[in-house]
Amino acid sequence: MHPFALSRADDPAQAIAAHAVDPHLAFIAGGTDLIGLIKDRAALPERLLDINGLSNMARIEALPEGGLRIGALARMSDVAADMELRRRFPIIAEALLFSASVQLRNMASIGGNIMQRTRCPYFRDETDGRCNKRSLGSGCAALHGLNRSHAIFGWSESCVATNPSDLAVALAAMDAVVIVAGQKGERHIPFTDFHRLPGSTPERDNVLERGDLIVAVEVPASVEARASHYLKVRDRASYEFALVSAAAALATDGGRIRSARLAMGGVAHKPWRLTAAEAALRGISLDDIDALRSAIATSFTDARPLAHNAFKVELAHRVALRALQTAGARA
Amino acid sequence: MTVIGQPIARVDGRLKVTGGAHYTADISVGAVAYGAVVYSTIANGRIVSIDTAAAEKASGVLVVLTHKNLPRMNPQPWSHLRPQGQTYLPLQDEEIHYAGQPVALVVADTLDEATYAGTLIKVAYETKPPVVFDLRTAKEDAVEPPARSQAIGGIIWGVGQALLEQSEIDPVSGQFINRNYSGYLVPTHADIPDLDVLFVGDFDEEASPLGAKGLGELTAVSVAPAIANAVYHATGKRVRDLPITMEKLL
Repeated sequence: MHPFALSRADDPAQAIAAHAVDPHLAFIAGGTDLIGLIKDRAALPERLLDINGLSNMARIEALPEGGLRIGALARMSDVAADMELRRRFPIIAEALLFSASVQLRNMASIGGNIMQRTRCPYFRDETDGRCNKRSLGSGCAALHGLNRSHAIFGWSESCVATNPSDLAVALAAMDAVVIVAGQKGERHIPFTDFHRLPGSTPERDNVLERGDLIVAVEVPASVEARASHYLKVRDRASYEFALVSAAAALATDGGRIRSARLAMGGVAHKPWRLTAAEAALRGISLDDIDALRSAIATSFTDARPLAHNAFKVELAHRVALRALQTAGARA
Repeated sequence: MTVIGQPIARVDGRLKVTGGAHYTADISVGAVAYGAVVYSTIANGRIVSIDTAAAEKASGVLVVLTHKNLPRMNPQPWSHLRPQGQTYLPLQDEEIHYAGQPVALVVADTLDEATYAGTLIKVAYETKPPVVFDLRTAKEDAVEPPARSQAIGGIIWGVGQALLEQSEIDPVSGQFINRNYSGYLVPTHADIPDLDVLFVGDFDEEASPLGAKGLGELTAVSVAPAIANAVYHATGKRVRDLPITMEKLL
């Protein structure tokens, strides 16, 4: 395994300053993703700065208007078990509990979860095949290779990988905000702007710059939050990324949808918000399957499946429909 | 050790690719006869008549052996020295115990002549209902399995074969792209429902001194067909290539 030097940070400002000037330094919290990437030689940091000792970053706090602030160092299992979160945002607890394994969730942090690399089997191939994320300009082997698990939305010739985070899909649906401390102070990044599409710079999964440290994620209150559901469909029942997942949340009025939130995972380089479908779902009865399906379909006009993943288009329709129905049953 | 690290030409490579290589079947040993077996087309019953006249007159045929003319053989008594001992001997009587049981052996000058003559043999059977193993009644005679975990392990292996496991090869480079367990999926605990294992039947002294045949991979064998049948029953889709993944059911 690639050797690295490990040191501990006890002051956020110093950690941010060290990260800003050293392109070979990476923050490490739970390490559950980073260490795997190092073993796959998909990340080769020379210095790791352990941020677990930074104070006040692991708390889960209720916000006065009904939202929640989740510290970046809070562990996935602690967040999933938080009673206030489960009551206010069942969708987030579900997304966490469908992720990884118990052991990984006990270690993995919320900040690290949303920093997981957008990936595919070629990206993780330690023999260094063609992958623009591993080696810029080497090409994308998945574009004309095996691409069953890859993107159907928003991909480019340079990358067709998908983001693996379940939590990110739920946070995108709930319009969460990523709070980042950087050299120029703190800024708030809307969750749907946090991850990016590959374009011609597929090595960048998100909008963070050197010297940026995720401090917390805030989830605002919303009328749809309580009637929410995260549905994950994958090849096996646990410890596997989604082929397709859906985060759905609804406000209803006499069995009709008053407003809807819908985001999908496993379909793009970033969590994919289905804004057209959300608009089309308004006013539709939850019992009208055909109308629900037609509304969902409005977000698939720009789907571009690859050679082996055309099934994801139909699968995604069905997963979105079932997630909406389950969320609706909670309304 | 001068060969290590050096390319080595395969000594029979040129012969094989130019058609010059000789295989076992190319070797003529002179005075030799060939046999072809004719098999039962029923699973249970008896031979009512067997007509070998046409086969006996066919070109090159030396003899046609059936239960009518093959000398009786001595059954092998069971012994610890022959744990694989099989007391069923072929061509001894008209009883049919299983599908594909030998009913005749044609001996001829060439394999082609023996095989062809075998097709001329006409067998009439009296068919009895097949003996079907019925789990519902067999359960009453079940015993606590001495190798329960081994059997469960085989079943889980079968679940992996049926639903998850496959090597994926990149069509351009020819390289495997799922070389470790992050990409090669085996079942997790959550994939496996409660499994119950019962061993049915008696001490089988003919199978081995232990009273049973080896277990090992045995319990994996029927799992994928059973799951494929269950998928067909549930969805109407008959999937014939494993693993059965969701795109095959959409």
